[in-house]
Amino acid sequence: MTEGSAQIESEVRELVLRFLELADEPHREIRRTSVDQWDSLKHMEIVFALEDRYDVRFDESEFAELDSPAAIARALRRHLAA
Amino acid sequence: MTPPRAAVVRAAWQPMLFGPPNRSDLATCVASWPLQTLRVRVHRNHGFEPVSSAMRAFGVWNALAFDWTIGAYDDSLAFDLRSDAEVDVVWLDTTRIALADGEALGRWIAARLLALRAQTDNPIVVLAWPLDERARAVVDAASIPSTWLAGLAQLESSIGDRWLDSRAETISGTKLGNRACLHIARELACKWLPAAVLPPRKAVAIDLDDTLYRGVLSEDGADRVVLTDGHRELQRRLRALREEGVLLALVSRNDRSDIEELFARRGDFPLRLTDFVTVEASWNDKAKALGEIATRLRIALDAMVFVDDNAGELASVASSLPVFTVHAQRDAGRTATAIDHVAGIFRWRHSDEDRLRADDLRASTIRGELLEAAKSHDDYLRSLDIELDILVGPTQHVSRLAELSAKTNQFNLALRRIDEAEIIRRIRGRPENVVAIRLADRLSDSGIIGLIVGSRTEDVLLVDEVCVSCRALGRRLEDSMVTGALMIMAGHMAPRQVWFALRKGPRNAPAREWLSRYANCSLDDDSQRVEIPFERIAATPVSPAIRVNVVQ
Repeated sequence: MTEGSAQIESEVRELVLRFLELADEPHREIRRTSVDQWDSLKHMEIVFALEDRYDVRFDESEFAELDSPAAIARALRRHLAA
Repeated sequence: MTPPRAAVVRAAWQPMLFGPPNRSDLATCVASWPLQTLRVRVHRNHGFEPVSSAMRAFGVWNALAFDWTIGAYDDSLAFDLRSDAEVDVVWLDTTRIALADGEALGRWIAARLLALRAQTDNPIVVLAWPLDERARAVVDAASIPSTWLAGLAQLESSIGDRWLDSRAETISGTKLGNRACLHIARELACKWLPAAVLPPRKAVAIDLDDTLYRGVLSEDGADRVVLTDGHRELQRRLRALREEGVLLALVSRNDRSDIEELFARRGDFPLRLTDFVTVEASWNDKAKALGEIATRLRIALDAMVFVDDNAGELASVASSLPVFTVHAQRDAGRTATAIDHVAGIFRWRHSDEDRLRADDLRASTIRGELLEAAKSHDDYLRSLDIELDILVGPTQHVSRLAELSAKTNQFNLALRRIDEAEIIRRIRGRPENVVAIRLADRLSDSGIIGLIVGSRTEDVLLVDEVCVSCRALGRRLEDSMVTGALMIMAGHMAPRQVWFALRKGPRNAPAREWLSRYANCSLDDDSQRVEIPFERIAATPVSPAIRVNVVQ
């Protein structure tokens, strides 16, 4: 992972935690399937906030795969590189 | 968080809140200071959460929190939510309602709003999209009390292509895009809900240097301070607020003669010096100046907005006064946007009385001089040529009466905050149960300044509320107003007693002191009722120096 990629993933993790109102713990795994707070409404907020933050527009088919900071960072890198 | 720190944090948030809204930035606006919670019930047929979730930051900036009860999607608008609330929101995607045309849609919406009106006296804020002019006209024509139809079409045209988002419905339940929802959230949190529920702000006190123009008057001189496009926009907006009845005050650390020269020389300024009802030009503490302005304008400090480019000055003022602070930014257009979004600045409706307020305040200075020169109080009243109209069951003034009930804090005996729907119901029950007072003298027409609401039993005239606008105070007319009204409310069969309902509030000492004098009794903080024999009221003469007209 490059420094830029790590930076994006770190920012995304921070954003996701903020929306889920969770404290950061270094080895905590953040996945939509394992965090109760990450319901459909929070998912909507997170997706829209990411679009605002990075000025990107996810495809509707991508919404479901944005289920962890790592997956989101991968999708963002794709969009930012395009 | 202390008030000075909160003022600085709120200033730092302004670029995020009042620039192009961004959900990521909004989430960073988290702070802890005392918030007033508004309980909101939402009746909807599409996703409201993209709006409600974005409202927190705008609310917190305005010291507001929203406690939501959001109903299930219901295209029929059955209004089956039964939770307690202070305001109802109807959030409607009209494309889901299969009706022939705009007229039919308007009739259906009006019928559903009347059904909701029958269930609750709460103010109702309607956000229906799309709504063509015909549909809107039909809903407006229904004249449903305390029901406000928000202008989403204006927002749609300002946002353009991003109003809708074909992807949005799958995750948000609404066709409206994120950008649309953020803009609606801002208007709903800062304007539409506060205007439905809270008393309005009455004055904007504004700094001069680097606020109304770019530059420093004492250093640059009157001809060299710069009116940027943003400052022109800000001045125009302030002038529009003045025309809507918001009082403008100038608070500046400059010499008064320099300020007078500035406005005399700068014909390009949209604002004139006469647009300000008062000018505080001194090198003293601004908190002291603002306190003096509030006293002079007879308004509560929390009804005042203070605008200054120096965040330290805002913090200093916030440390001692409960005024609402706005940071004047380098882009003055953004300052104008921020002022527009102070809760209580936007009003759903502007009354004639709002527009009369500034002239009335100017007249009060002359009244003070007449009072000092008069030999007696009756001489003073005669010199003013006062005319008092007692309007019985005045259905055409219901909105003004509800506004008086919502706005008056100092002369408000029971703080019942009676809304339009209740006033109409009471008038329908017995017109004499609602009396309005209109006041004019040779110096100004104050318009409708008093509301007295009551009810009759066989023996008792129960006075549920007495509200008098602060603009009418100081002429010692309260006895004449109330006695005149009570004689009408009593009707042909004189009651044995008059019972005044009362409740102590943070600012209604003037009303309580008046009642104590009028009833010749002392009041405890817990007193909820004062009883006076009617014959004593009937024997209290209305001053012969006042012309009183009863308008049935």
